[in-house]
Amino acid sequence: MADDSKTESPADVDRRVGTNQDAPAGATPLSPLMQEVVDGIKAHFPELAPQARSDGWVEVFVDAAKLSEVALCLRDRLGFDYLSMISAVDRKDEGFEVVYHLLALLANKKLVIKVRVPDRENPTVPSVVGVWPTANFHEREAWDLMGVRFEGHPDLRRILMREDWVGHPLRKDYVDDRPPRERVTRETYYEAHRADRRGK
Amino acid sequence: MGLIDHEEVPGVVTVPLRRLVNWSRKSSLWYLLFGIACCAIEMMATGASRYDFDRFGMIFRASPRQSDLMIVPGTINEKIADRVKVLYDQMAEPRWVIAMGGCAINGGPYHGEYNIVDGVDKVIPVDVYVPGCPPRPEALMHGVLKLQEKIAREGLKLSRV
Repeated sequence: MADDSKTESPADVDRRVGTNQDAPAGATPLSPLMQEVVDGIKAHFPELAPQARSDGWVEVFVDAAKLSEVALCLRDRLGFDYLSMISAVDRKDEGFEVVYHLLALLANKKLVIKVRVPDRENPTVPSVVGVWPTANFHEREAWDLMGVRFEGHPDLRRILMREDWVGHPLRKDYVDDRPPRERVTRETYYEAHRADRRGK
Repeated sequence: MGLIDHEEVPGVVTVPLRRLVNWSRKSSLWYLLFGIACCAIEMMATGASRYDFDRFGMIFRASPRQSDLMIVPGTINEKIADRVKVLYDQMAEPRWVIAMGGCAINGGPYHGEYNIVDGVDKVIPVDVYVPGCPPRPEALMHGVLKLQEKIAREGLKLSRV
């Protein structure tokens, strides 16, 4: 901090390390594995535009309508057999974004699929449970906490919140309006218990 | 008032009943095998051989029907809160509760978060609070010893108020 020539501003750090979001095409050099992933996707889906990210992942935006087809092809033809994670992002006015992290374990390939869901009232995305069964719990979590519905999911119900919960807590506009609970002492606990039994 | 050893009659001692009952209860606190989150690891460590609970007469019982003490280790969220109440209801009197760790005391690092109940004393009555995140085994044992002191002070009538 004493020597200004040695400290980097945040913008300099970004330029040196690279950022994840919206890098211009061709900004990041591709490793051979990443190039293989990009080529494979372009060969099967010429309309998609996979981007390389500075952290070693290849990222591609896919339409919700094409997701099932793309997923099947990725698993069967391109060898992405491991769905690592599904997460949902609340982009406020732009709706939601569902992010799939895929790995081809033995071939050491990594891929991120992002699906934009502009409809905020009723966000729906086709389910990939038929392709990668692990998606079952991940999609339940995305439904529970973000409210994104997955069409074709065999059992879409809450997984972390209580079954009768109303609302989706991880949304940006979620408001926690639970009434405050009173502290319970032995007196109040047994009073409530006795009132319960009297009621019967 | 303590043990009175009657020299005239060998093998006979008298002791106030309250002291005898309280001593037997505090020296044999069987705790419920119930771990919720990270504090459960420390509870297990305290029960294991290095910090041994067994020397206090405390063994874990899997069934609430057979336990006197419920140590509540871990974060209470809305889902588990219902189950904690069910288990507490199944324990037979006399029963005590130790709230172990920040989360069970008042929500700890997750105070005010969605889905979190701020402290297990919003669900069941608590006798001893053991702070820490997680509390060290020595701290939990200290809490148990405090509970033993509390039990020693109890009256003979039913602990239900």
